[in-house]
Amino acid sequence: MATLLFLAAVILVAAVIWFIVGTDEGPRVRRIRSGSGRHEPVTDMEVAEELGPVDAFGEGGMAPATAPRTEFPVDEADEQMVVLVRNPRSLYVYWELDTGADRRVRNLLGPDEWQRTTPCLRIFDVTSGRYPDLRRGHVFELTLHERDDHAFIHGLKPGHRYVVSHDRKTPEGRYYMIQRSEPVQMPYDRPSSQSALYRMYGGQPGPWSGSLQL
Amino acid sequence: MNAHQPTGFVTLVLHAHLPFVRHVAHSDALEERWLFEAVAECYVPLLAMLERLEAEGIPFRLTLSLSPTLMAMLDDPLLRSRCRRHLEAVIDLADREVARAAGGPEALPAHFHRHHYRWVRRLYVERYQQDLVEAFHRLAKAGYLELITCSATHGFLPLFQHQPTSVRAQVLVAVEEFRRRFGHPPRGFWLPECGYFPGVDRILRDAGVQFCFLETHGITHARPAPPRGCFCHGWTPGGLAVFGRDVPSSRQVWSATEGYPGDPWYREFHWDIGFHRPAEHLGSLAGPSGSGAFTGLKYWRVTGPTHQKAYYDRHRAEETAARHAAHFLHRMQHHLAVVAGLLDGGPPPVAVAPYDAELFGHWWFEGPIFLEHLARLAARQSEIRFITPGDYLDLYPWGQGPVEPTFSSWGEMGYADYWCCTENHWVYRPLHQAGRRMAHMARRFSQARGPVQEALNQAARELLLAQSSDWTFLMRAGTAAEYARRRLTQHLERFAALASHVEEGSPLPDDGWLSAVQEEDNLFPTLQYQVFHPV
Repeated sequence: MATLLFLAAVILVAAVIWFIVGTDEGPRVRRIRSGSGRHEPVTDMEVAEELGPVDAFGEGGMAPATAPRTEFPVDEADEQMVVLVRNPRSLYVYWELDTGADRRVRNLLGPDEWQRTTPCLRIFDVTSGRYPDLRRGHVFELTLHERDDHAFIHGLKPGHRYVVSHDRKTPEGRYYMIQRSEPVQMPYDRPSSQSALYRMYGGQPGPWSGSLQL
Repeated sequence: MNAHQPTGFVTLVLHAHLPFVRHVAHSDALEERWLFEAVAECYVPLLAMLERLEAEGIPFRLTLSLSPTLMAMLDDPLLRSRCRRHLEAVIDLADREVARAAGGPEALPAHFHRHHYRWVRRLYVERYQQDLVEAFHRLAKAGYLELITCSATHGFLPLFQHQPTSVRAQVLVAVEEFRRRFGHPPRGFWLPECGYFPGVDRILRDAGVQFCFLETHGITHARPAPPRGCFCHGWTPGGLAVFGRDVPSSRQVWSATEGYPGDPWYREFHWDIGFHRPAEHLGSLAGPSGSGAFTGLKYWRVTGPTHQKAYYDRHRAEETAARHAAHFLHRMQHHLAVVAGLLDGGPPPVAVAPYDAELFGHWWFEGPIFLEHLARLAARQSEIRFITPGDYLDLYPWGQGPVEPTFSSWGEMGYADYWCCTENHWVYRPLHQAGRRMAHMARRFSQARGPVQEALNQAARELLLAQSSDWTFLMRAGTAAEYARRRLTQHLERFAALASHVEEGSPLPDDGWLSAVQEEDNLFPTLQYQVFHPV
């Protein structure tokens, strides 16, 4: 009986660790680095493609974000990860660096192990629930530079819900979560009916704008 | 259908908005001319047009959204006096132009523009006593306008949706400003850039708003599909009535290819004598360092896709506007008859046609003439009727029942790309951080009095000003992008200085700094910072 209890406890502890740390069993997709640092190809994506137009990326693609920054006197560093919906297939996400969570993971790993990890974003499809199902893995993953603090994420699915997770990844494929966003809902990109009324007057968003320039 | 029921209804919605531009120390700021040009070419001609209809007893119903920042500028004594001075400068220039053009091909357009600006000045100064908001209010009371408003500083709300305190503050300040001026809350609300996200409906409804407008796909992409599409309002889960934009009527006016404003007989907006005359001739209307600038005197017509522009012929332009009004009415009659045939009973369809008000007169100079002809023609037929969304709600309160609109905007590509892209994405981190800090201060100092209260109220104003969608729009468009960057930075810096002063006792830059900032950014006089208090 004691042996059985011991085995059950071991299994339980292993399951908890597995849930916390996560695994790398999600579908493999193209990974590139965020645009706010050096641009080096790290996957199968060509450099030219990486530097191309924002919306020229396919499934899992990510555009560089290199607009000039203006320094503002912002003194509050929140441990927040904010995700903004741009369109049915694209998100903008920013996060804070050097947060308490960041330091906690660094302390947990120790300086040597921390040096072996790389920052990354994982995107989870949570359409069927509020929280990521780590056993099912992430939809895709984006490798970051150390000082990256934002990213454009393309290639998402209209009507789906996503959570973005900011992690440290070990060479062995283990993840240590630093921040995780609230779930965001992508809008739909097509009419919900094929009736004659919708075919004639359904309206599709396009490049025209209803708003005037000054 | 009974004998008095029309085939359908048309709702014309004009959204009048300009960013808050008021530079106390710079009497010749080029950006302040955005207001003066809109007064001269859009707001005064629209008022005059509606008053002509009223004088002749011709019924017409128009919905007009007045943004809180625009109303603040129209009310401001300093800007009023500068506007009057600007009109006088244009008239002086027009006098010089008439003398210069005598006997030449520019004589007629020069005379026309001098007449126009003298007429505008007379109305603005003598008839309206420089109080255009009150003039619009009077027309609302006379039954020609349904006045509504938009968020406090035209913040693009979907990009603040994770920060409800900011969204709520944008809505509540706008509603309060409307109530302060007109004595009642607005029934309708113009979501800046038609930017809708699920959840904003509850905030609007809690503020007493009854309806708002969405881009077409905000309705037609909803799940499940609303049975009447955009041709009837539906009710959101938050209890707000939503009207979707009608595609054909919008495209007829907006489209660069099919739209009316591109007709060869209409006045060409971009060709202005301010870019064709020496600085000494333009006088005070010359741009910085004597560069070219818009003066409002535009002698050429669209002509076609050519740089050889022909001279403006006012008579032919007015004829064209009348022809386009007849065409628009005919198209709408046909369009609504087809739609009514597709719908299975129920209320007659309503086609909602929203436009930026400044299109009518400023960009499309003949726009007010077009509207006047449309009103006159509409009064002579009974197939379709021009009403306001409030009227339609009163007639058919249930509409098409519940709908669940989706995230949408009327901006390029239909969502938020234009306001969050490589040119402007960096603004959101400091904006959101400032929003969180403001909410934190509102909670921490919930009963502040005296100087702390003053500082917090001004901090709230600065934050609201920084949240304006105009700055990110201009950065993306590349027009006045540097000005937009400067303004956004300035408001955030002022906010940060005030927040540090309140939270940590940090000294302000100097003794008169707060007074100077209050004088410069003097909108929303009754604003209370507690509007940012988290619920």
